[in-house]
Amino acid sequence: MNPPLQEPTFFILTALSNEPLHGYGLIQAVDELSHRRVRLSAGTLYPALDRLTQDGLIAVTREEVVGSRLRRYYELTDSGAERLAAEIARLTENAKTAARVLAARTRRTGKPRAARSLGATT
Amino acid sequence: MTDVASRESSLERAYWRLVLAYPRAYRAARGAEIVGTLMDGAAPGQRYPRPGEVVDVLGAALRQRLGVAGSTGLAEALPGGNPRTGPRRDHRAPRRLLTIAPRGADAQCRGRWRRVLRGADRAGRIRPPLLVGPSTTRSRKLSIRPPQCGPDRSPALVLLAWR
Repeated sequence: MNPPLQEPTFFILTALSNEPLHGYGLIQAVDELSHRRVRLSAGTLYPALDRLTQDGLIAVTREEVVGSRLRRYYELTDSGAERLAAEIARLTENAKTAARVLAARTRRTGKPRAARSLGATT
Repeated sequence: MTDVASRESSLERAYWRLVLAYPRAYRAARGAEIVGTLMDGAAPGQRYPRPGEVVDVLGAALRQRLGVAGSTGLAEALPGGNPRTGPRRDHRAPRRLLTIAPRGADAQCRGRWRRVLRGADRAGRIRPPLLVGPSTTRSRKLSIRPPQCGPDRSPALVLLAWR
């Protein structure tokens, strides 16, 4: 059983499911997909890419050289797609369980939200 | 060379200097790519790396050198730290405070810096890595009053380590 994906990793894999992207393209795509919640930087992106490449979840698909700079494009591998699908299943299952338990509570108490104080729940 | 081109190349050179902080082997593998990403993200007409970029890249380079890359912060990477909860608060194990004092600071000044930061650390106000200078907004927000010594305005890079 795989450990849960960290959120930046989750969004990197999601962004790459759509199309191959280079570093800055990935930063922007993750920013957008996460509604500005996950903000990657050069310093946080590359350790994640190192790990994902090592694990075989992503791979370099092509490189563009502009002067002394480099744009390296990454794509999702089949094993990366499987890993993301497994994570989606896990999250969906968690959400379903939570919704079911909360719905039962709502039927019991008529209150969908957590009570303000512990005393109020009795 | 046009004006825009020369500005771009001076920014690019500055990013390359920043990337020197990475270990050599890592720089060889990733340097050009990191510079490319930084250049892609630079604002039009930007001439110098932004302070946030400097902190970001130096932090990443340091984590790479410490062999703890992949963690989002130094605190999480160090022994006793945990990706979800941050460093373990174990009061029996003394924490070690590493400081890189302002350039030109003498031993007495370094000692004062260390005492100030240790106090703030005990109060739980700071998490590494941290850049503190005599008058940065960061130090005001953390209510750290940097000692009046050493050359003004040169920040001290402060790192905390756990035993």
